[in-house]
Amino acid sequence: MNFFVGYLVGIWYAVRRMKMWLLLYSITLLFGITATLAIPDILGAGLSDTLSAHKLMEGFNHTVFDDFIHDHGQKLSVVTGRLPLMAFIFILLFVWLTGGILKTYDMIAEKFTFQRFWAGCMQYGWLLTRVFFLFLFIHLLVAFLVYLPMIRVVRSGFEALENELSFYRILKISVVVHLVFAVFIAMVSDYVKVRLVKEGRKSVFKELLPSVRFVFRHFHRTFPMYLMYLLMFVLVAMFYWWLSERIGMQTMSAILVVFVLQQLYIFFRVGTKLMNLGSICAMHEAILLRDRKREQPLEIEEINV
Amino acid sequence: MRRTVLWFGVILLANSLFGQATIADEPLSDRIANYDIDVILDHENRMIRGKQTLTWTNPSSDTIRTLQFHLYLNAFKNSQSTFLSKSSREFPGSLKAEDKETWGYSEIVKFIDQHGTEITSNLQYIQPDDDNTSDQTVIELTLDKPVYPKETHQFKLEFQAKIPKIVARTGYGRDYYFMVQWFPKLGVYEPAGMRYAEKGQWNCHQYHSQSEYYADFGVYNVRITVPKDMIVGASGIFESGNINDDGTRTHVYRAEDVIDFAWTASPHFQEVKDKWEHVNIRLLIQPEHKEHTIRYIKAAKQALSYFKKHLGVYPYTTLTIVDPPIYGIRSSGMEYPTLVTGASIAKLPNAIRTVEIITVHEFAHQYFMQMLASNEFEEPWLDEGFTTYFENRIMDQYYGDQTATIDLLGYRAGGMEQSRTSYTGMRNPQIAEVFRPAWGFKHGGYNSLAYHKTCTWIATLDNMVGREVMDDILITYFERWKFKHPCGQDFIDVANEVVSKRHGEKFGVNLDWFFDQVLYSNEVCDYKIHTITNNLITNKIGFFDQEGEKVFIESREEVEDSVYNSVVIIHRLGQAKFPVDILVRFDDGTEVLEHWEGIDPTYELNYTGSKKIEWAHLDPESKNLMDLNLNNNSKRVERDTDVVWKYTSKFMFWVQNLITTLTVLI
Repeated sequence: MNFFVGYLVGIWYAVRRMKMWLLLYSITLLFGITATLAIPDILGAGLSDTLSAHKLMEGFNHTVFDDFIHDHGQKLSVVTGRLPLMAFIFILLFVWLTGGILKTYDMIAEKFTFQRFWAGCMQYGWLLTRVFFLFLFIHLLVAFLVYLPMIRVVRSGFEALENELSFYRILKISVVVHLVFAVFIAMVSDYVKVRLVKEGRKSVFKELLPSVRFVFRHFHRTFPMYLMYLLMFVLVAMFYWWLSERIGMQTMSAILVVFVLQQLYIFFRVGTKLMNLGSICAMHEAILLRDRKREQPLEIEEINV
Repeated sequence: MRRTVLWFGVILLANSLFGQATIADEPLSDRIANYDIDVILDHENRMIRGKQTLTWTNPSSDTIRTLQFHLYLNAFKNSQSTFLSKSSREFPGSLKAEDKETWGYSEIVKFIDQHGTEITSNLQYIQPDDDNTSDQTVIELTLDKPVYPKETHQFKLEFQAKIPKIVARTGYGRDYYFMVQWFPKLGVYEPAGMRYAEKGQWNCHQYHSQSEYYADFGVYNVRITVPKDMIVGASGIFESGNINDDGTRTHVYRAEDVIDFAWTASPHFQEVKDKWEHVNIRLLIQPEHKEHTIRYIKAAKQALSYFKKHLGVYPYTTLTIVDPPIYGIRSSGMEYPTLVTGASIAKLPNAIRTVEIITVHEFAHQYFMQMLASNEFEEPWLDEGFTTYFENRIMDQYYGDQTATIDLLGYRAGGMEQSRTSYTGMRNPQIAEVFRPAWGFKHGGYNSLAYHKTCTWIATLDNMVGREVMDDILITYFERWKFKHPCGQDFIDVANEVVSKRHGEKFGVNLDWFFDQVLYSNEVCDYKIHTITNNLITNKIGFFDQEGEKVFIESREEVEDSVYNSVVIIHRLGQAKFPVDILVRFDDGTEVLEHWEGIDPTYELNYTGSKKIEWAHLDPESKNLMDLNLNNNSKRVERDTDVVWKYTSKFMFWVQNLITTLTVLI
């Protein structure tokens, strides 16, 4: 299986599991609504009966916005203050849901049932939580190491640098290096998860090295497949931005249209995660099958000897 | 023919201006304190050594027996100076205790009076502002022989200074030097009646972290000797440059009718020369900031042009703009006569207009503090507030009133509106009144009040009296007080005079009620449309006699000839009182403009008729920018929820975006 086929199969996996896709989107929507519940009241109290509001309909207006924030900013900060906790809960929930996703992908030929999905969540939830925290630690460690020179430069008050261009160079290099590492770590993390679920392993640490080896050995497949999803995401994001800017949000009907667009975009983003996991499952399985086929004749020869 | 004559005139003018520091044939100021200085930069030891001749005229009818000098660099002598000990939060770690090269000081090593007598031993540090005996930023000299009224004396002194690392405004950063307040500088002797002086007195304040400067006008002839590879910029005009045998170069500058002299040196400067009418613009820019050259020059020309049109022509023939490097960034955004520092960093997007804002702002100081030489220690609002006001006028005109400061990725803000919100958005806009000395803002608010509140009330005054009258006030103030030392009351007097001449008693006998509130008190202004009600008055309700019987009529239904009692209730939430217009719109499309003096805590507008109120708008032209909340200045009867749903959907979308983005970690 080459990377492009892997990419297409990932999309097919996600489409085939449309119910699961819808479920995950609905959870995202539910979190969005929960976080936003207080917003209409706060905005309504400050903006619904003032004539200044029309300026915000035309676009951003510093005066109206700042006066609003000065008057209602505390209420807003209560809402935004809850977001980190909500995001953390969402991540933990999604980690558990990933177990269900991988379980249903492992049985892609069979008909989707929520029963099997939830069973997967329960079966692999704790295991994948450990994977998540391990890789979160690795991500943070790598980020710290990569940005350490930059942090030292900032702390030294730019003493060590010729000028800010040197700082930008360090920043650029740091970001690129970090991105390369982050992508690689994310890929390894995905293959660890797939190996744990598909091969029924229990030790997170034992799967680390084989996964690294797997990603490296098949880099010409695994990496371009990642890039394809990245490219697809960038293209769709740009298209969304272009379209929503053209429509604007200056009338109620335009607001409704953009709202639908926004939700379609979020639906797609959730789907991207599912597609990516689908591709990884398919790629892993295809390579594993191929390797096993190669190994079989060897065993026969050995018996003959 | 006409063109030839014109060109001939231009050439004549250019020739006549060549070598002149100003466009005037006569002195522009009374030239009270004049300096001839020879200064040598010892780059290796971060020292300067200078010889200075001060020619000073006693402007008063007093016999003067002491002189007071600023030794500003002593602010960086040790941690006990008033500057550093009272601004620990502002300069953390900038002057490192373990690195003596970062500290600096200044001292007069020899002082010889008019009669050739050395009187160095008569020098004594004084602390006129606080009892901090460790502060050595002001030194007093007791003269052996006094200076009699109107008499001119010449004093010769030698000084040396260790240059501090740039903490604020002055010092060095690697091989970049920004030398301001570097020489022993005489204070201002204020005769009785000048500004707020009740009797003749020296005005020579200590150096505080927020305070700037105050000095008399004069002529400066300065010879600056630096390593020959260094490029030098300075106040005034460049007269000559000679290479010395020891590998140094002496740059000779002359500045006339100025209150100060600043210079800078660095081997890295790239020099860009341009011209606007009679002004030679010289930009000394860091190579890594070259991309901003056009931005600097364009902004300078816009400011020159705007001031010529709205206040008065810039009389000097030079303007030097210094672009500091990142390691000298703390010298950025400063103003000295004919020399200002900009602020930029490489790759700064054009949509963030820091380069333009700082250039325009610092240039505006050429008028407010340089030509109108107010006391920056005692009345910082008088230079910073007016400068900010002009900065915003210029920026809003050339870059858009909603995009003048930033216009990036949908976020945008104009100059005047950003100044207003810098004041109205303060956590405590009542923390102090504007009329305070710079060091009086002990618990914060200096920037928001001296710069932005002042700018906001000047803009409010502008809106009230009209731009034409406002310009008349400003031009009168400028013409009357240029090359002198005006105080706040002088501006108020001019404003009262011009407004009463142009508007009669439209705004009262004078504008003192306005200045009392915005300048001398910390009161805030906030008017609010509290409620609007449209109550139906039914023609018939209750018992009515009909054919000998009492009939109860209870219909409240609206009929064609329904009559409404419509009421608008307005609250004054702040203590400040401003007259205010109220525009009321009815459902038949008609509008009524009402006026309220804004004195009582509440006010009511009452209408009875067949039409209902649709909305009411206080100060519909947004003249009163001092109002803390402009959103509550209007109210509509029917709520419009479009904006609520627009931003609710945006908020939800970004939350969903955020959490789905985080799934990359899973």
